[in-house]
Order: sequence, then C-alpha cells, then structure tokens
Amino acid sequence: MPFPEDGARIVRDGQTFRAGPWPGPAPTGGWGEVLAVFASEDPAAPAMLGAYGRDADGVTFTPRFVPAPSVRLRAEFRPLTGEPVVAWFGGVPQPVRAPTTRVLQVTPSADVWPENVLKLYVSFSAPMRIGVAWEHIRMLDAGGRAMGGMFVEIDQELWDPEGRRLTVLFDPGRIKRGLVDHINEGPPLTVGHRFTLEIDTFWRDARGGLLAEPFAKTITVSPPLRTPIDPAEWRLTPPVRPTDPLLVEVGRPLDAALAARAISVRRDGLVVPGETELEAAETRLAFHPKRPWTPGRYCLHADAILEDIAGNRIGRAFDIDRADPAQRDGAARDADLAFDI
Amino acid sequence: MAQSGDTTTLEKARTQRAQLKSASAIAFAPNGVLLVGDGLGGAVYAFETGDVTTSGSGPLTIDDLTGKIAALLGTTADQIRVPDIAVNPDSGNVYLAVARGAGADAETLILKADRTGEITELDQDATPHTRVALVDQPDADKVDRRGNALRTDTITDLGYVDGKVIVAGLSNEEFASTLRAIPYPFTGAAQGAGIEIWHGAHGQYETNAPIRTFISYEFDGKPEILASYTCTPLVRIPVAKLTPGAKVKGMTIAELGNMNRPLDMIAYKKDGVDYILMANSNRGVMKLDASRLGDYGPITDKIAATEGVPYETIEALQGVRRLDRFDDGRALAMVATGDALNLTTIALP
Repeated sequence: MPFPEDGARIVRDGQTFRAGPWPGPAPTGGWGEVLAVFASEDPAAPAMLGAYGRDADGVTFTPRFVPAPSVRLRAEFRPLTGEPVVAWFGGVPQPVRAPTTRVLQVTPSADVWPENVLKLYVSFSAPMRIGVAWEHIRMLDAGGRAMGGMFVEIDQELWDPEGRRLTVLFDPGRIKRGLVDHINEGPPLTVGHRFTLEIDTFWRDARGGLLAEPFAKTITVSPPLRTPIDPAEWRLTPPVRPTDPLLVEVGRPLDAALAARAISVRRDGLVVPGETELEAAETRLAFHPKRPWTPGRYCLHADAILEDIAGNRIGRAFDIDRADPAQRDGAARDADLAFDI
Repeated sequence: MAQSGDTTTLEKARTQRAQLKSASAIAFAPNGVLLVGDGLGGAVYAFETGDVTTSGSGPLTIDDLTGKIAALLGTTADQIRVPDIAVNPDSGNVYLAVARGAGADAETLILKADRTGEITELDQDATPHTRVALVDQPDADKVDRRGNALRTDTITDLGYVDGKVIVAGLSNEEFASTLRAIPYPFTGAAQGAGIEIWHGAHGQYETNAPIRTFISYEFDGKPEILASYTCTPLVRIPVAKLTPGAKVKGMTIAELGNMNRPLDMIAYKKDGVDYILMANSNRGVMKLDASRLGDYGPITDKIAATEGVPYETIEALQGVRRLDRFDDGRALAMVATGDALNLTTIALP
C-alpha cells in the first residue's frame, strides 16, 4: 500500500517494518540512517540486525531474527522532510508458564556411592536453560550446608543434544590419587558420610518455566572402587523363553550412559536389535531382543569405552597404580562373552 | 540516531540456515582465519574472514555485553550466551561466539566488534569456509528409546599451533576425552584422529586427563602447548608428540593453589620478559613469570599447593572469564560483574 503524500509513517507487515515515503536511494551512511528498529530501552544499545530493502515508495527492514514478542520495539524513521517518526511495536507480556518440568532421574541411582564416583547424570522432563547449572545444583553436607569445590564447573556445561540430560563431573583433581587436591582437600565425598544432591526450582527450563518441584537425593558414601571391570565376574542368565530378556549381573554399578551405548548382543558378528535396560541400580543389564530369540550361539559384546561409575574400564582402573604389577600395563579392552540359546 | 547494525547487503535475502550447531570455542589462525569449535555439530570450521586490515588501535569497551547483543538480536539478555571471544590479530577486530536462545536449540552466531564498539554479524554462508568432522566414537550416534542420540563432545578450547588446529574436548559420557591435532588447511575428508592425554602423579598413578584450556608456547625453538587439565593447572606437551592415536603424558610444571584451574591463558612479553596471564576458576587472575619456564618441573614428588613456576595474583582483576591478546600492550577480557558481562581492554600487567 502506498504511503500518503502528507504523512510519514512506519508500519509492520508480518516480520517486516516499512517506513515511507522515501523517494530516493539510500543515503551515503546507509539505510540505518533512515530506518532503525531498537529492541532495548538502553540508549547506548544498537539497533537490531537485519536486512534492508526498498519497495515502491518506502524502505523495508526485516530483523535477522523474529523479535521476542515480549520485547518492546521502537522504530525510528527519518523522512527526507519533516520530523522523525517514532512508532512502537510488540511488548506483549507473555503469560507466565506454569512450572511443569521435573528432574526425572539421577544416576547413579543407588543410595550408596563410592568415594571416587566420577560423574552423575541429571535427566529432566524437558529441555533446560543452559549456562546456569552451577547456580542451581549443589551437594549439601549432613548438616545441610552447601559444599563448594565439588564439581568441574565448566561454563559450557555438558549436555545431550536436546538439553535434557546434564553430565556433572566431580572434580577429578580431588579424586585422582597422588594429586595435590586429593591430598590436601581430600575427595569430594568422604567414606561413611551422608550428602544430599540438591537442585532448586529456580532453574528455568528452556521455555522459561521454573521447575515444578525441587529435587533432592541423599546418599551415603562407601569405600572407593579402584579395580578394573572384569567381565569374567559377570553372570549371564540366558532367556528361558524366546521373548525373555538376557540378564547380566555385572556386580558393580556401571556408568548408565556408557552401558547403554557400549554393550550389545551379537550373533555371527552382527548386532542383534533390541533394547538394553539397566536395573538394580545399574548393576544389572536386561537385554530385550526386538524379535524372539532363536536357538544358536550369541555373544555379549562390551566395548572398551565402558566405564563403571568410578571411571574404571575393562582391564584398566581409573587411576592406574604403576606400583602394582597387576595394573601396570593394563589397557582398556573390549570383552566378548559367548552364550547359547 | 544510533548506528544501525546492518550486516547484510541491500536486498539480500537470508534464507540459508546457519550451519553452526554450537560454538563453544573460537580462535584465530594466520591470515584472518577464524576457527570455530562446534561440539554439538561434531566439527571444526575454519572461516576465511578476509578481515586482515588493521581497523584501529583504540581500546574496546562494551558494557553490558549480553544486553547489547540481545538488543541486536531482538531478545532479552537472559537469552544470550557468549561462550568465547577471540581477537583477530590481523585486524584488531574482536569476534564473539554467541548463542541466541536459552536451550540447546539456540541459534549460533559469530559477531564481530570493531574498535568503535559497533557489532556486526559474520555471514557464515557467504564467508568461504572449510570444515572437518570429529566423529570417531564407537556408536556415537546410538540413540535412546525416544530416538535421540545423547552423546556430545564439548569443545573446551582450540587453537592454531605450528600448522595444526589443536582441539580439546570433553565428552558428556566417557571421561577419557581426547585431544585432536588436525593439519590446517583441512584436507579432504580426513578426520581429526584422537590423541589420548594422560596425567602421571608422582611416577605412580596414571589417569586420563581431559584438557580444559591451552596456549601454544615455544621451548628452545620447539612448539609445545601449555595446557590446563580438568585436574591439574599447568602441564607442557610437545606438539611433535601429538600424532594420531598417540598416548601422551603432559609434564606438570606448576601447582597454583588448592582446587584452582585456569579458565583461559595468554602469553606476552613485557620489558623483554616473558609472562603468562591466566584467568582462574578460584584464584582470580595470575601473572606467571615465564622467563625460565623451561627450567621447571616435572613436579613429581612435592605436595605443596603452590609449586613450580612463580606467579603473582593481580588483585585488580576480578571475575575474568575469558582472555585474549588485544595488542602488544593490552589484553581483552570478558568479565562477569554480578549478572552483567562486560568486554574490556586491560593493560598487560
């Protein structure tokens, strides 16, 4: 629609701002001198990024991103003659979202963690806000006091691609034997003591909602787990009926994420489709085949990346004690356990 | 009227999706090549920015950086993250890795601030670039019951050292994360093969040791990296040892106080003396005397919280999250003050 001869104005057409009339080419300083749209009330803040264009008798501006609806936009147009025109758009308050997001699970799921537990996973029911984790997650001592220096608080944070599962590393400098912090500060968790992992409700999800409820998990601490994973100790219970799962008692809690990824069932070298469930506080695997078992020889395969909750791998402890001849040359390895159906 | 942030040529439609899925670390290689670590996308990009002409020599200060970027991008400051900054040594312009959005699906942008503080966007599609994929994990794309792959690498730092792009990453699953040294220019489909980094304590214990941040440094004319592990503040590793599939042990040369880890480092020279400036997680900013760096370590049998390379703490600098060399006499710092993030130029101490 053409602009009236008698009055300069700014209109918003979908995501594009149009200002006019503007009869000529861009001024030497660029279109930003003619039309600018601001998304901040800070006078020092720059105008929005975007693309300028011309139409019949006006200038158009399309922001680089669709502006957030709650942000009040101030458009300024300086026509060739007459006073500058200012128009306001947006600024629609958004309804407060009801808190619905929850912590679904924390692993290790056991109530007793070894002193040298290396990491924990927190799974949420919806994608979370990234970049604020360390303000909202903490370990409390038995007296309810927040304890600092527990975690590797990297500001990039360690999330799955969707932002639903956070990986929290305990400070490895305090876990690894022989390091200054292990000796001077001790491990993050101490044997025999009780601690509570706490996540407060002020951690917003990615859409801005608060958590529906706080999360707390109290654990006690057992002696460190310092030996390599030994598949010779695993107990396999082959299925009795064709639809039964294969059960594997591992005898120690496995890293939940790696167990799901690093363990598979194979036949003739091919992966048998199915799902691996972790049970009994990640000490037991249940492999449910997608199709009923058929008689034959199978193999349970564990990749060398498998770790228990203290970072020990198959054939290699987390911190290798080179004074121990049994460990000195240990290397993480794959393992294959055959079973017949 | 304030300056507009027009970054696109007139009438140019922006229809292509941004290629970057994330940008957790950025750095410059020679000739204005911007390296971007995209952990979520499992790749490192090299953008040939062509930004090789000096843009000015003045200082740069941007107060309320996230607020200013939010204004540029039509949102609120709580939707903006700035994971890393890098000064282009060829032009003096400052590049910012930016995420717009609160969650993992945030848009990833690279912004450029010139010495007047004007911020524009690097057009990722229009800038010539190459990419190298970092996928070498078994079943890394294995999905969960909802059909989602869960494993990611977070690139914690990267840099150009002696013809190679060195990439430090931390996995959200395995602790034994790897370092990669990828020859640059990137050639063909060659992937960045992993290097296992180890830490030895007192000649007795050995552990995997992911690197959090590093800088290049020459010892006796040979390139090395000075690195900070997630467990130990300062180790040195010769670049020549960083070959695909290698198992490399760094040499500890400093302990910098209990539970303290460097967040970022820069090397510089002042009055003929070499120094390293280091922003820390726990102990503010430290200035290390690097003039005899080669003489220290390995620290293998001492249990003092501070040991090795001597340092002083710069009390005036608080809340520094990221550092880069600005010019011969100054550094650029990204500083957290309360809830605000500021970009400021500081004189090298």
